[in-house]
Amino acid sequence: MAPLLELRNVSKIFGGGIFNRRNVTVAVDDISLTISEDNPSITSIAGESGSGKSTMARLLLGIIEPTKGSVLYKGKDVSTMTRREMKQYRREVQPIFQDPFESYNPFYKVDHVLHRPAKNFDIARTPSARNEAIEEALLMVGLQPDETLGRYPHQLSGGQRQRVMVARALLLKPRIILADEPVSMVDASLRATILESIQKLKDELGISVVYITHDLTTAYQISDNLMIMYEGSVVEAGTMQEIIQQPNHPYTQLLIDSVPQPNPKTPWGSQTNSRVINQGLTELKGCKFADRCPAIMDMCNLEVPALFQIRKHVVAGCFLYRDSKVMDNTDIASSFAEKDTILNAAN
Amino acid sequence: MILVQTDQAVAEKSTTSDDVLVVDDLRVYYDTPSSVVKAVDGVSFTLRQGQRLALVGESGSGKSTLATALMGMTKAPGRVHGGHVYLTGRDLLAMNRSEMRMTRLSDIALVPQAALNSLNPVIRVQRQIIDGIIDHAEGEKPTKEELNERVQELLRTVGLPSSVARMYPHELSGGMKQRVAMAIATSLSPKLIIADEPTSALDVVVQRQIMETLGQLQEGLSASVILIGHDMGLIAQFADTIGIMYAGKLVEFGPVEAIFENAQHPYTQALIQSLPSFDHRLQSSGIPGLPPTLANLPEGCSFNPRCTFVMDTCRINEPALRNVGPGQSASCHLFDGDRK
Repeated sequence: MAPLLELRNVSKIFGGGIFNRRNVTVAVDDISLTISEDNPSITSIAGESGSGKSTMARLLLGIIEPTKGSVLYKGKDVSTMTRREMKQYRREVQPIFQDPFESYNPFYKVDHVLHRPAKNFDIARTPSARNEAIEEALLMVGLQPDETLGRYPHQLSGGQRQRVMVARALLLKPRIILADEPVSMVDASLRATILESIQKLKDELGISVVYITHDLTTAYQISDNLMIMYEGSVVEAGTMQEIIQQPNHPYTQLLIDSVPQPNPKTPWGSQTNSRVINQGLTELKGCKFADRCPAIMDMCNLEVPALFQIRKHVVAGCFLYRDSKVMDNTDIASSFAEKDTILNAAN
Repeated sequence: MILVQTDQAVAEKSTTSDDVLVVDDLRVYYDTPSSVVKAVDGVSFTLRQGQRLALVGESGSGKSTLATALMGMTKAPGRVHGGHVYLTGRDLLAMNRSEMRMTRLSDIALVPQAALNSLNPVIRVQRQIIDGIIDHAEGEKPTKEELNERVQELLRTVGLPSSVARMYPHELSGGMKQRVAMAIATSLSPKLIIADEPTSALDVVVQRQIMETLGQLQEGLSASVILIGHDMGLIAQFADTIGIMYAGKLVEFGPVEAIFENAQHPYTQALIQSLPSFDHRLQSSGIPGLPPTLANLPEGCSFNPRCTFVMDTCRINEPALRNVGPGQSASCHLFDGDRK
């Protein structure tokens, strides 16, 4: 399994200058994750706001540098890349952002967001070849080029705008797409079409997708693997199906329980316990979730739980599972299923 | 233009004391240089005391315009073109500015979509709550002690610690800000609370807490709630009645169970089918086509270009709301033959 994009023991700490030692936010806390080359998959990173999931995205995109650890693309450290390597990395790892309204400059036609990167990254030699590539990318996401090109962003619906963003990413022939909440601002009736185009990227073009969201239902629709984050740490990871059907970590259970089911006869679960005030991270010794956990034990306040290998494709960082053996590989991706297993699970 | 009226609206004219809000053929239009955009086009419904109505629709369906009109806050180029809104028997649209000012917050209150933007960043929470009370309460001005006590009480009811009173909005999380907005909205015990996508910027755990708090507030005040949104999951959990809006019109209206189990309008059916859930992986591809642009609506039924059951008459005639079940009405030509 050749690694494509790797996080190696990455931590990202915000704040904490000379004058402000106490106010430190550990946004990402020692996470290793590999996205492999020969096995395109959709990996969801889920968690509530402040869990560090967007920081993960920014680290993977190379927008911010890790405080500790390293980000590697095709085995090369992103921070020591040459210009040429950097350009390749920037082209092959493409983002899709949350807000399809803010990703556009309202003064330019939508063609601009397609032509510009095509030009910068030398997608095609001649303008006509470039136009062809753009049209192809639009068709790929289910948009008609003649209905889309030549229009201003405000003339397109939110769903169309987001699909143009997917087309833009596609145009650059990326290896990995990082989608940060791509459907949360899109109308319900159009969400499915966006999710479908994302799934097509994987199935037809072999592009791996990292899907970052707080919405487990949309993640469930398309993902193979799932990683749940809580305050910068991974609390549970494994294959999507297995976790949704049988969540192990109390936090995962809370998250799944909180999802409002579109059926008036399936009521919300009964328990809600969360801090109303998040005072920032104080010196926490034990499990970060301890103060909200319904299943808290004495040991939870004393020690940080390791990730326990509950089943072959599920790990959870909770002392409830201390009888299982500790995950032997720090790489979260080692808990994910291989492609064949995913297909079998889905069928 | 066919006058669309539900049976409820007709029956209502003899307002019973239980009816908190009666909206009768409300029309809100936006004047643009090229055309008149009918954002709310003949909407009628009645809300009883304690009822929780959810208005669902895609962006551009007119649901927020409707909410703004109910608050008497329609701004140019928008204007109320016609219809009536009766709040406990008084016509809101006929009120002058100062009457409307006294009605807002004390009778009808809005929990805005982005609490982040609705709070003043340079004023402490306490002052913002007090300002609302002083500005909208009728009668004698309460003393400082009374006001401070009221603030503490309000913060308690929305589940915030009293220390929040001295804080500035930027010190609060998104969920806490939304709670402050709810404290302000309920500060004068309104009879009707309009919540315009109150949780759209929050994540699931907080979302659920906010909705539960809103439900408790509503029960405590025995007020009615209009929840505006497009998250059908949330609505299924919160509302007892649903109104589905499409292109400025109510296309279906009825009890929440009936709508989810036995939706009649093709749009409602497609909307419910396209909902993601844990029961199945991606199967449906959403509703075909695009939401209509209000400036350029198709002839006949606005949904006809996206409808799978489209008939000839749909392209010519506008359907009217008809009774399709107990308390349930839908506007679709499929029910033309049925009892009116």
